[in-house]
Amino acid sequence: MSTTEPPVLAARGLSAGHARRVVVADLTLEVRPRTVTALVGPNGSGKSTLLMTLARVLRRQAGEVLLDDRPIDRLPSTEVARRLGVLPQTAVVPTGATVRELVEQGRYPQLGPWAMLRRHDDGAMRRALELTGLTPLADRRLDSLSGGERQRAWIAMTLAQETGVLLLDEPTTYLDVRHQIDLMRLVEHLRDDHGLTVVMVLHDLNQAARHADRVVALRDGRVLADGTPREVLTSGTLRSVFDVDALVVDDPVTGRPLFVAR
Amino acid sequence: MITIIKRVELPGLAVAALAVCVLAALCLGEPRLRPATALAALTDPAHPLRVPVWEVRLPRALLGLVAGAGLAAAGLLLQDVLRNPIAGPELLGVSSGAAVVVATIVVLGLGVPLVVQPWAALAGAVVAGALVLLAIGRTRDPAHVALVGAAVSAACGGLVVAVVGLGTQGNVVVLFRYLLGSLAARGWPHLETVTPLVAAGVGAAWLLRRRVEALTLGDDVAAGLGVPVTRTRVAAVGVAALLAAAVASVCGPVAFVALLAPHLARRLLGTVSTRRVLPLAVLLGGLLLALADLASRLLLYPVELPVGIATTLVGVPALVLLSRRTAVPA
Repeated sequence: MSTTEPPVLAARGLSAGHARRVVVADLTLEVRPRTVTALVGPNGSGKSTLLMTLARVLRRQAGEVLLDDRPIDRLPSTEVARRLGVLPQTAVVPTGATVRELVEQGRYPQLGPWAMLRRHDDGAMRRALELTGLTPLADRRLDSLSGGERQRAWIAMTLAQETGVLLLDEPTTYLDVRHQIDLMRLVEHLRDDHGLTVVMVLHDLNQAARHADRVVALRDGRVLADGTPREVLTSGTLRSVFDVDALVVDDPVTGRPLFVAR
Repeated sequence: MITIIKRVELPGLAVAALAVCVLAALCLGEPRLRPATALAALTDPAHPLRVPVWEVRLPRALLGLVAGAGLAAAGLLLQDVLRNPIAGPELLGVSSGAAVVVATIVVLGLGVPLVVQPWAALAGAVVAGALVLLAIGRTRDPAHVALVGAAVSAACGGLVVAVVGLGTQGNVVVLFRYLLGSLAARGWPHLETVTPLVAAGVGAAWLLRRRVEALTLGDDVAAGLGVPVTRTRVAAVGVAALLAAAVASVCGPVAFVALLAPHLARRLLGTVSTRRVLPLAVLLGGLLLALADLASRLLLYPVELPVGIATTLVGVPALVLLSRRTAVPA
């Protein structure tokens, strides 16, 4: 992780929310390339709102979002989608669609609305299916899959976009422990071997501590703590952010901080 | 492999079925003709049977085909863009709203030229559709939307009855046409009015197909893929309204073709992908309406039923089946 490189994604004085309700107020955040950032915080703290506004899925109320140093609002929306992939929580499973058809949708921004699928698109889809271990399930219907398999299909769709930045909203929800670990390893692999930048909302603090380079703790739409897992996951922060009385110990396996509620 | 064959062969089969259907429409009825005679009458302007074949049966068969194709495209757009499997212009009040306006023009003899009538119909379609959208508010429950749509359609049906009653006492053909939908007494001018609009609407649906397909994944996912969500939804609903209005201005609010054709195409192709379903749905819509018209002409011959009766008789059981299936939470 280098701090001298310019951020790939940045929020400056960002306010965001739904309709007139302000959920995130005057927030500034910079995301360095090839890092994994975890957004943590209690329910309603603005994590998802922040993530969706960074992805330009939600319209910002004030301030600006910069993607590769350019205001994201000035980029054409397909251009944004070629650089930044997002997996929202509000995804709707289309009844009857197959895994392959879903993953194919990830190619939309590269195709533009009028073009046909080409060989490179097939390659991108194949890689996305392989990375998520879904190749044998490619022709299965989504509504016949387990919750975990379906979640991986959504991740595969986002990977098929072949973007440099991935924003994931609670990607480990619905996954059993095995698949949670696999997904977190996939995220690390994407950072280390493909140079991806990942920002994700996580509920499991220990997961954040273990797999993120940086943890941003939000409460009431403000950043209360921002830094390495060790800097952020202290018993003081846990009390001020989550109202939880906790002990922080060293994880005997990873050496990262491990949080145990008292 | 099977799916590849399906995708090539099914549209081919549908086109062949359409040709057979049009030929049957040329031959059947009074006088009943051999196919060779019908074809001779088509090609020879001086043929003694030129009038029934060329002036009556051919434009009517083609109109069924074109109108059905337009309705199918409208239904597919509405179903996918509203993520409501039982959406269709007839279930959103759009078709019957259009029919009220055209019935008024025709019955009261307002002297609006035929080519302008689809646009007047569009105004009625938009008003009725907007009423439905306002009444449902923020709900996304498919059954709720269909219920409100049915109520607005019923109100429009009442208006049609009132208008027809006010004007020409007991004009059954006009009443049938604008209440249920009918292809009776339609000829070349009607076909010429509706065909360019249907062609434009189906073309627009083709251009929108990928964006519409992305919308089936949810608004946020679609936005994340770079799809302009609101613009796409407004465009698709607008195109569907134009298609439904154009068809209703000529044939009335023919029900259930828009609902059934896309579902039939999905079932046959084994996919819900908008861009894969669209071509076959359009062909099947044409086939369904042309077949239904043939049935309505011949079933109780010499009495002719409005085609809307035939489509409704097939459509209602299908709608019941569909709503039972969608009652299971997705």
